[in-house]
Amino acid sequence: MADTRKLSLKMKKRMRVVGVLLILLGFVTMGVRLFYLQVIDGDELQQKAVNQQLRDISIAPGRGSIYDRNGNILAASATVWTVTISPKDIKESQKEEAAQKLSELLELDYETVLAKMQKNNYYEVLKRKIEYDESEKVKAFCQENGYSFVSLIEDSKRYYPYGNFASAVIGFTGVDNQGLSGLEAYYDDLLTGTSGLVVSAKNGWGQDMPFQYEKLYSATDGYSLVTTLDETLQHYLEKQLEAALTEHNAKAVSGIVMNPKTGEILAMASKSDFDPNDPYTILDERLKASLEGLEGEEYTTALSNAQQYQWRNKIISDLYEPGSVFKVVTAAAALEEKVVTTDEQFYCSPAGVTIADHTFHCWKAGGHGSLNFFESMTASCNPVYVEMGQRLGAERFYSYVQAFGLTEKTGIDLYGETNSIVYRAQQMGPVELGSCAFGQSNKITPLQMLTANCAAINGGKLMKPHLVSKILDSDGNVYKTIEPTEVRTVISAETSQILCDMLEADVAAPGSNCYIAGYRIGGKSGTSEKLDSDDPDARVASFFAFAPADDPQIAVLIFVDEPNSYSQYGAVLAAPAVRRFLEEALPYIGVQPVYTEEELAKTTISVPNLVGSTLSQAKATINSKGLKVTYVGEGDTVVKTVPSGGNKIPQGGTLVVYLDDSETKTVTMPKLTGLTPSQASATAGALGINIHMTGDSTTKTATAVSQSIAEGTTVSVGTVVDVAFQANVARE
Amino acid sequence: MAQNTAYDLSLFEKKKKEQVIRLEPKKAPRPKPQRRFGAVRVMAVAVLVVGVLSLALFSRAQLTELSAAITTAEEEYNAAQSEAQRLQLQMDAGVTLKKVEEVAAAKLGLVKQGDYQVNYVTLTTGNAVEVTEEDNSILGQVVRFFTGLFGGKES
Repeated sequence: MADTRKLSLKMKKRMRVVGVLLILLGFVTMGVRLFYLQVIDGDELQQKAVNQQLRDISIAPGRGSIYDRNGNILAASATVWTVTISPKDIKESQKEEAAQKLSELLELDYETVLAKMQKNNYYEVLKRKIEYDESEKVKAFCQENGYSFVSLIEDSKRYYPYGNFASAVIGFTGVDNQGLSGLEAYYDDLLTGTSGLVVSAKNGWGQDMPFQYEKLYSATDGYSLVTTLDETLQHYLEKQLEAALTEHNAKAVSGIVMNPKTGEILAMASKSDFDPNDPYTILDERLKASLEGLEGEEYTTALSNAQQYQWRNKIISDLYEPGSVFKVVTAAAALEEKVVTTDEQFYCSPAGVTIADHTFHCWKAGGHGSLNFFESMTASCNPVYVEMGQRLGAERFYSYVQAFGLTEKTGIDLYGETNSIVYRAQQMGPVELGSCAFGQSNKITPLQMLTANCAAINGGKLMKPHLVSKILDSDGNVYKTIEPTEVRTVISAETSQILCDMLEADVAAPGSNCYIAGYRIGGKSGTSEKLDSDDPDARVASFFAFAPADDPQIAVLIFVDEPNSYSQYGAVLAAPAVRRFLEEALPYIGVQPVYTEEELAKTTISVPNLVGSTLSQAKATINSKGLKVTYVGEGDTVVKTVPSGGNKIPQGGTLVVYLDDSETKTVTMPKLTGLTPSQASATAGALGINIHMTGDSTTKTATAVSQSIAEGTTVSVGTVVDVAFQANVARE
Repeated sequence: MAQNTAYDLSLFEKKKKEQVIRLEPKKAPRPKPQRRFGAVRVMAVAVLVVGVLSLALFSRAQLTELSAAITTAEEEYNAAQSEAQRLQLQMDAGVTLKKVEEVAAAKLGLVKQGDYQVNYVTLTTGNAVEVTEEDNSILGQVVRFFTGLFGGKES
């Protein structure tokens, strides 16, 4: 019995040990497994759990807007919708009817819609970017017809309210709202913003359980840009560019307006251009005509080239030989280096000037004869500037070309800026130096030319051109301000003042076509050959101007590329466009005219209202206004006048006063276009017509280019006709 | 065996413990009080629990509905705001300077202001200097003499 007890005790002990060992084994196994699951596979399993249990929905950020300097919206985004279908959820019997109805509603091709419905997937796009009204119609339509397979996905669309306005500057966006050109591309990161996220728990059916778990990561809307552009000045500029493009049948006309003291770009445009709301459509008639009759790959290639041409900002991407506008730089260098004084005399011979084995002729066939350096700017005398180049020498000349920023990009905040092709000092022999000195051979961008000339007239400081002045956050707070940047001082203030005087004299002289009564304007014309063009007659006609000449606040450069017109010269084609721009722009920016006595004498005055006055009263009033008078009829009371009261009449014009009900005398308006000022005045005067001259009427050889009342119209004697004159003197 | 008195072996005998019988009063268990309305109370508690649970569920449902309504309202607000922006842009597109000029000139027959509508007034009449006449009396000459001696200016 004792043995049995001993045995059972032993067994019990062993059982206890085995039991403990088994339990330990169990725990160890579990521990190892836990370690494996939580440490080795922990991350992967956690991720799987997150993917299974959580759902994230992306929140698209709002794209920032683009404003002009006065807060006018140039580009902004709004919500639109994309219509999608789930083809697999459409019953076979429903497809044709649904395709018919949806294609009618969305104005799509039936076959295309049907083809999409017959696909074997869950997602097909029917139409992108439909607006609110259309989306509501789709919603109502689907609810009415029970089309649960149609979905509306929120999207965003970019709007440009001004259409083809500063289009090369603003640029446009793509289907995914990414910037593709212009400011939209350059500042795309800032404009886009940061997407947000909503992470929430989902149950076994895939439904959200926001109270179980939800975390919101807010989207950050994009920043907005305040540009330096002025919508009004941009409009004035584009109006003149469009008129010049049509009038001169040019390949392109471009213009840029800058504040010479700060480098802010106030307006910039290239015609032909495009509408950013529909950038892929060709707007220019010439480009459209070039695509007619083409098919297949030829058409695709030509279309792509045409699109690239219209998108390209020719002011920063195209090079040109600046011509005589460059003489401002040469003059600045010569004066600063004191190799010439303003009263030094030169002689411009018809034989030209010979440098090495090359003879440079002046643009004026017979030469200018004797003139001093100050006058050489107005005369645009090539031999004088060839001489300046020789006096400076290649090294010094090139150093000024560099100093004026013509050998490097300006750094404007736009993509696509091209660098210039300029002769370096060691590449310039005497002939190349002579040619470069008067604006040929070197190729620069129009922006570089304007920036350099602004440095010449603003006191000598080269300013960096820029298009954006402020960056705003989504609440309208200023995130960043971009201040004007002075790159370097190029010339002294004294030299700059001399240049201003020279350029002012250029505009004031007859034949500039940029003179505006009451305003002090400086400017320089330029006409250059396009040496690398297939067409030997291809030219670029340009004009640079700034005002007021004693305190420049605005500078403008307009250039006409390959004009097919009655002239090729900058002073004839580009200068009038600049003048018309400044006539509107200067009062807008607050520069009011201050007339000299001589200028006042040429303005028009308002006709006094004399109807009902006695003859003696009328005489006194007419005398006080300095008008001449012709009386018609018998009587003591004024019955009517021609022109009538309140209308305009030139100073010293003739007023026709009717003293009874005599029939109004009439004449037929003659042709005045093509006549010189004196011829036009005599022709009109002979018929008793008052002539009001505008434009360059001081140049004796100027000709009338337009008259406000057409030839052959029957008009009353005393009627005022506006006649615009333009000098066709080939001033380069 | 004669008792050994030298050794009292009885001392080494296990002494029997005297059993002392103590009487202790034993507390009788309290009789359980008879519970009145026991079933009713259970029912009431059950109803309360069900009620609280129901309220909790109901409030959770309300919350979910309200959240959904807020989300919908926010979406509608954002869509309306965006639509207002789009319409504003559409309106701006209709009143650009270009369109205003076209309508003003073509439809309304308006023209830009001419210089004949502005009266230019000359304000400056030229510089003029007033010179006081010198006092040539004896007193005036004496005053000028003494003023000049001390380097002063005449008043």
